[in-house]
Amino acid sequence: MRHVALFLILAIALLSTVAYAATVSVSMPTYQAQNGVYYQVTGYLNVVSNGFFVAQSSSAASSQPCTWSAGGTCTTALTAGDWYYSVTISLTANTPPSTTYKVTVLWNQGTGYAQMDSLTFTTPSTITAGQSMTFIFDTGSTIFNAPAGIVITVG
Amino acid sequence: MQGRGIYAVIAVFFILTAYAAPVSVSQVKEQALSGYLYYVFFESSHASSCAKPSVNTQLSYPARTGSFTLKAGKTLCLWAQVSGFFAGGECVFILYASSTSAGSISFTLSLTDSKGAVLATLGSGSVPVSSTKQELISFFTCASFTANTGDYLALSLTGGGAGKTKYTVYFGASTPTDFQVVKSADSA
Repeated sequence: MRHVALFLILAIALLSTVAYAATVSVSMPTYQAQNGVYYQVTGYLNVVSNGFFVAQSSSAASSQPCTWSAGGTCTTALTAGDWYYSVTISLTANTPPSTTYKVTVLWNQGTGYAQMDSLTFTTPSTITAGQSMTFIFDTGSTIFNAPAGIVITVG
Repeated sequence: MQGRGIYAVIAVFFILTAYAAPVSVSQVKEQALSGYLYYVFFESSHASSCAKPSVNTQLSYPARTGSFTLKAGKTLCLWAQVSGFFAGGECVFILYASSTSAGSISFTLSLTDSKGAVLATLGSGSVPVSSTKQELISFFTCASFTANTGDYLALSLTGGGAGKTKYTVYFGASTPTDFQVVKSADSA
């Protein structure tokens, strides 16, 4: 009876060791480390930063999520005189169709990163690689200083 | 008995290790992640001669406003002191201007040494100008560059069009003529 109990304990220990080994053997395609968090970046979309501009007139925010429109614009509410930040996102051959993504922009003018804003969009049902759309984020400020750090996430 | 006790302790150790380790993994899935460091050089005083550096831009948003005249066929420069490595890619020139008749202003961004000698031409372009004062945006491809201490970026502005065309270039608060370059960029 004692031998059976000892055998069971050792068996559990052995299975636990296997379980431990199985957990750390998981592999993922790509990792980027930032601020201690591991990001899995699959690269289904291309993102390009366009820089900062001043809004010449006020306009309403786009309905969310924005429907994909090649060459179109998806924007937060713009106030005339505010600086806004522009991002272009383009589709790749691997972009999943009819999928909704959230675009978030963080910025830092020297006092730490803060969220500028976020927008959502839905990819078209038929993907055409190379199609792009511009995303506009009002900074909420008429004054802007450089250098400015920008982090864009799409997920 | 002691032997079995040791086995039990080892077994408990493995069990706890196995169930504690997996939950320590932190992971966030993203489709794209990009980071940029932007340098925006706001014009802060009149453009000056392109022969010798004279800083007339600043990284902070300018409080004062002003304007200067650029005649057709003439060239003036905006100067900014820089150092270090700058990534290539898309650069931006934003011009607030008007003109006496329809025309254009061409521009070239160059890296110069401390005396104004051109070390590299980084990019160029042109913007159409009309009699209405407006924000004129030009994206242009910039080459990457490394500036040594004391080097400058020079953005030359050349008035185009007929001989009598005069361009008024505005700068400062509410009409922030500026050019933007990327110090560093990464994406995945």
